[in-house]
Amino acid sequence: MDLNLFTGLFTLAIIKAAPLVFGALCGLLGERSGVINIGIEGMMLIGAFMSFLGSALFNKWTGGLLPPNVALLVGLLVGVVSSVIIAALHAVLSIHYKIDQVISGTVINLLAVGITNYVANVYIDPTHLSGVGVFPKLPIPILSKIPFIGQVLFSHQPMIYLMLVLVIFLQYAVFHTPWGLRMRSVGEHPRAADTVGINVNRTRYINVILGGVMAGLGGAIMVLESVGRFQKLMTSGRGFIALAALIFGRWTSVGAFGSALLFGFSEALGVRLQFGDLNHIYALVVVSGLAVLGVGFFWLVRKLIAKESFKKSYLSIGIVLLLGCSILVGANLVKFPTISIPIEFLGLLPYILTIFVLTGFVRKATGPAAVGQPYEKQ
Amino acid sequence: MGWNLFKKVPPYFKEKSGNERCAITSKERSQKRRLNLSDLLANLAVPILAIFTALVVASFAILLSGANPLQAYAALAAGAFGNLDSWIETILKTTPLIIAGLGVALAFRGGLFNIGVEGQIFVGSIATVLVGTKLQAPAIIHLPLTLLAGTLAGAVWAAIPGYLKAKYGAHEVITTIMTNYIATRIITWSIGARGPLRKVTSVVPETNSLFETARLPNLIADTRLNIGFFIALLLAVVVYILLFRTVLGIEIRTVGMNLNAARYCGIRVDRNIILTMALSGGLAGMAGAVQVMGLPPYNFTAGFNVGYGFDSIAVAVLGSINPIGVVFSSFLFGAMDTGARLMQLRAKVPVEIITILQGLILMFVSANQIIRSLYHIRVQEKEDKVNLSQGWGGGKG
Amino acid sequence: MLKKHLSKLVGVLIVLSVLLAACQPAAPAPAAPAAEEPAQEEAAPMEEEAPVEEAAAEGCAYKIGYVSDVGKINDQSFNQASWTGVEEGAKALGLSEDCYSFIETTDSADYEVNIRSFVNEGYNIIITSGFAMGAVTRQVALENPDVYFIGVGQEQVNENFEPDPYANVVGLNFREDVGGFLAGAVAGLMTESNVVGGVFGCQFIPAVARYEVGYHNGVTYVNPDAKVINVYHPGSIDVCFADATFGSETAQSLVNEGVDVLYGAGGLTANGALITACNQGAYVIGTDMDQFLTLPEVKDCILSSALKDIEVGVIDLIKAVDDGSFTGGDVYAPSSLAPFHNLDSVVPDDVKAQLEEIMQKLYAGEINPCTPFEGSNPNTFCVPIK
Repeated sequence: MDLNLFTGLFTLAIIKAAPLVFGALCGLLGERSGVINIGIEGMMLIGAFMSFLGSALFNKWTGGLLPPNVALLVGLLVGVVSSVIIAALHAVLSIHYKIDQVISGTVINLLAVGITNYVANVYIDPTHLSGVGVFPKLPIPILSKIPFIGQVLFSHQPMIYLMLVLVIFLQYAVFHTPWGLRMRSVGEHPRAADTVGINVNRTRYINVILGGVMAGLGGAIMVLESVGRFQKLMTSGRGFIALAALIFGRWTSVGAFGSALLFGFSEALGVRLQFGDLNHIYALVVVSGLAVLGVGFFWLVRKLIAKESFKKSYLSIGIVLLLGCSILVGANLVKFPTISIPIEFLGLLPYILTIFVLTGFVRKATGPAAVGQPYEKQ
Repeated sequence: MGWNLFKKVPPYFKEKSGNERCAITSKERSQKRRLNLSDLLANLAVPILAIFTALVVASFAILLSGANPLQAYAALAAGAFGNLDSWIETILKTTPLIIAGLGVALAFRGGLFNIGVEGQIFVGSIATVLVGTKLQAPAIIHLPLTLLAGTLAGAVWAAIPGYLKAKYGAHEVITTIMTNYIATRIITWSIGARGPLRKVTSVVPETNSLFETARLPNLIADTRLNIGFFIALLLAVVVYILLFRTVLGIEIRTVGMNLNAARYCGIRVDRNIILTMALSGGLAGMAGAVQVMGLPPYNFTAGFNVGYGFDSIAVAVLGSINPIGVVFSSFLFGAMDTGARLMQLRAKVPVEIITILQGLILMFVSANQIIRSLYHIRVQEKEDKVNLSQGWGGGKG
Repeated sequence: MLKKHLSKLVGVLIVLSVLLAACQPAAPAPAAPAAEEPAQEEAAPMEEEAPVEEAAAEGCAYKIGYVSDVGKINDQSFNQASWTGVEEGAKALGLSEDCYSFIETTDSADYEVNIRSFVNEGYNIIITSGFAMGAVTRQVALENPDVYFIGVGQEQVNENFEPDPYANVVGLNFREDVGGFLAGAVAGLMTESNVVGGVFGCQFIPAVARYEVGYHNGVTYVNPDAKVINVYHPGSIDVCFADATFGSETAQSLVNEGVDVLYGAGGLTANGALITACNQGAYVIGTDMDQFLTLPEVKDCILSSALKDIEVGVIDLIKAVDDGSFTGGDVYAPSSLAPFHNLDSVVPDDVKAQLEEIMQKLYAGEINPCTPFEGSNPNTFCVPIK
C-alpha cells in the first residue's frame, strides 16, 4: 500500500473525471433553469470534433509557424463556439418550438454522430490531417511539491485547473448569488419567477448556451489535453455518464464533481489492476477500507459543521472509522489468494460502485420542479 | 397539466379512495373532433413533407461526398422495397425496433426514462439462449417457454432500477445506464473464451445455437421471414389496449402525468413504478428473444443487437410514444437501415448519412412548426402534445 | 386555397416518384419528374440518365465487393487496409470505380444479408473481413460456386477444426502472433527502462489476443528482464475499438509506470494510446498497416508497425482470380515489420540484424510465438507455422 500508487490513481481519476465534470456542468446549467439536456453526448462530440478541426486547420493554414499552444487555443475557441451553436439549436427547438426536450436532445445526438463520422470519413482520414499535440502540463510552483495533493491537484494541464475552478465557482454562483437564485427560481417555479419580472425564456436560453460552453470544453479537453486528435465516436457514452453524475450529485456542481471522481477513480483502479503487479483482492479490500474511512470522515465533518452534540451519533461515527482502520490494517496482515479477476469485471467497478453508493447513501434525488416543461407566457 | 383530473369519476377510483374529486379522464373520450378532410390531409402531409425536407437537407451532405443524391435515394428505396427480399429484410429490421420501441414508449407513458433497453435486450437474448439450448421439449412447449424466458429476464432486469427508484428514490436514468453497462459487460464475458456460455467448437465469441424446437417458424419457406413480425404487431395492439383501455394502463398514465395526484387518488405509486419498468423491460427482453429465435444462426454473438437501445428511444419519440405511431416510425427506421446497404453498394454513400437523415426526420417531424411554416400548411393544434419529460424531476407532481 | 394544397401535392408527388424510381431494380430509373432540386450540381460528370446499375455495367470485367466487420471502416488500420487492397486490386485489373464497392456492417445479424446483397447485384469477387464472418461466408460460397470469396482472417475449417477448403473461397489468414512477436522483439531491444507496455481492444477477439500473446513473448525472448504491462479495454464491442480517450489515459498511466515503448493493437482506442505515448516521449509501435503513413502525429516516435500485409494479400488474390490461379483453401500471408522511417538512424545495426534473425527463426518454426504464459489471454487461438 504505497503512496505513489494512490497518487497515481487519484491523478488519473481527476483526468478521467474532467470530461464528465464538464458534461455534468452543462447539464446543471440547463436543468437548474428547467431545460433537460440529454444531448450532452452530442454536444461534447461536436466540441471535440471542432476543436480538432480548428487547431489542425489553423496550424496548417499558418504553415506551422506559430507555437502549437496558439493553435490549440484557437481550436479550443472553435470547439466551444460550435458547441454553443448546437446548444442554441437545442434551446430554439425546446424553448421556441416547444418540442419535448428529450426529443431535441435525441436529435442532437443523432446529428452529431452522423455529421462527425461523415466528415471524418470524407475529409479528415483521407487527408491525414494532423493534430497539433496537447496542452502542456503546468505544475503550480510551490503547491505542486506537496506530497500527494501536489500531484493530484496542482500538476495538471490548464483545462483541468479550469474545471476545478468552475466547479467551485458554479457551486457558489448557483447557490449564493442573485443570478443563481434567479436561475433556480426559473427552474422551480417559472410562473412565480415571471410574476416577479424575471424573463423565463431568456434565462433559459442563456443557461442552455452557457451549458453549451461547458459541453464544448468537455469535448475539447479530450482532444486538446488527452488524445491530440479526433477519433470517431470518441465520447463513448461519457455524455450519458455525465448526466448520471449530475443527478447522482443532486444537481450541484460539487456533487457532480464527487460522482465523476468516484467514477474516474474506479475506472483508473480497474485499469491499474490489469498491470498485474497488484493482488486484486488486496487492492479491492484496501479501497473499500478507504471508502469506509472516507464515509466516516465525511459524516464527522458534517456533524462538526452542524455543531451537533448527540453522543450517540459520534459513537457510530467512531465505529465506522474504527472499522475502516481495521480493514486497512487487516488487509496488510492477511495473505490474499491470487485471483485474477476477469477484465470485464474489473471494468464493472465504476457502475456497481455508483449503484451501491446511490442506494446506500444518497437519498431521494429531486430535480428542479419545473424541469422539462416549456414555459407558456400568459 | 393534468388539472382536468378533477372531472369525471370512473367507478373504480370512487370505490378505491372514496374521494369524489379523484378522477381520471381519458382524453380520447372527452375530445370530440370532427373529422375534417383538409385537416386529415394536412396531418398526413406534415410527416411526409418532413421526411422530404430531411432528404433534401441531407442531399447536400451527399453531394459533398461526391455522390449523386438521386442515385443514393433511389438505391435507398430499392434496398428497402425493391423486391421481395428487400421487403423481408425491412420487416426483419423493423420487428425488434417495434418491440423495444413499445417498451420505451410504455415507460415514457409512466413518466419513467428507461434508457437501459440495450442491457435488457442483452439479458433477454442470453436468457433465450439458455432456455433454448439447455432445455429439451417439444416445440409447442419449448417455443413459448423460450420466448417467455427472454421476456421475464428483461422484465426482472428492468425491475431492479424500478425497485431502486420506488424504495430509495434512485433516479432511473442513473440506474438504467449503470445496469446497461453491467449487463453488456457481464454477458460479453460469458461468451468469451473462459465464459460459461461459449460455444466450445468455435473461435468466435458466440453461444450454441438454439434447438430447432425453440426457433420461430418461417412464414415463407427458404427465406428469413419469421413470425416475429406478427408478434410485434400483436404486441403493439396489446400495448395499445393496455395503455388506453385498461385500468392498469390508466394508472400507469396517471402516474406519468401527475405523480402526487395519482397518490392522492389511491394509486399505489411504488408498485406502479416497478410494474411499469418491468413491463418495459419485458418488452425489451422480448425484442432480444425474437432476434435470437428468429434469425439464423439462432445464437448470440458479440456485436449482436448492438445499438438497438438508442434506436428504440428515437423510434419511440418519433412515434409520439403511441403504440401505433411506434409501428410506423419503426418501419421508417427499419426501411432506412435496410436500404442503407444498397445505398452504400450502388451509390458509394457512407452509412452515416442514414444517421443524419434519422436525426433530421426526428427534428422536422417533432418541430412540425418548421415544416408547417415552410409549406404554408395550417393544422389545428393538437391538445395532447407529447410530453416525455414529466418524470425527470423525480418526485415532483 | 389551391396554393395551400399545391405545395402538399408537389411534395407527395416527389416522394412517390422517388419510390417509383426505386421499385424498378433492373432498368435504369427514369429521371425524377420534379428534378428542380436546389443546387443540383453533379459532382462528377455523370450520364444524364440514371444510376449506373448492373444493366449499364458492361465496362466491368469483374465486380468486387467488400463487407466490413462491425466497427467502422476507415479505422485507420484493419478495415482500411482491406479496403485499400480492394481498391488497388481493382486498379491492377483495370477496373473503373463503378466496379467495386463496400458495405459497412452495423449489426452482426446482418452479415449474411450484406454478403448476399453483393451476390444479388452480380458481384463476382466478394471480400469479407473479420473472423466473425467465416461461417457465413462459407455458407454463401457453397450456394454460389461461381462467385469468388476472399475471407480475411477466416480459416477454412469444418466443425472439428480440420481443413475443409471450398474451391471458390480463400481464407486470407494472418499470424498475428508472429507480427506481435516481432513488435515485442523491437520493443524489448529498444527499451531503456526495461518496462514496455501495450494497449489492446476487446480481449475476446482472437486476433487481438494473438497480438498480445505474441508481443509478450517477443519482449521476453529478447529481453528476459523486461517487464511487460498490457492493458485491454474492458468494454463491449461497440466501444472497445473506438474509445481513443481511454487509450490515451491508459498510455499516460503506462508511461508513468516507466513504459518507454508502447505497442497498440486496438483500432481507434490504440491510436489514442499511440499519440499520447508519443507526446510523453515514448516510442510506439503500430499494427495492421504502416501507421507511420496514417497517423501523422506519431511520425517521429513510431519505430515500426506489425504489418499484416492485408493489402498485398488482397491484391494478389484478386489478381489470382483474373489469371486463373485462384485455389480454394487457406493462405497465410506473411507478417513483417514496417520500415523504421524517421527512426531508422536511431535503431542500431545489431538490433536490425537481430530482428532479421528472429524473423528467419520464426518462419523456420524454431520459435513458437504463441506460448501461453501465466495470466495469458485464453482467447488465443494460434496456428502453428509448421
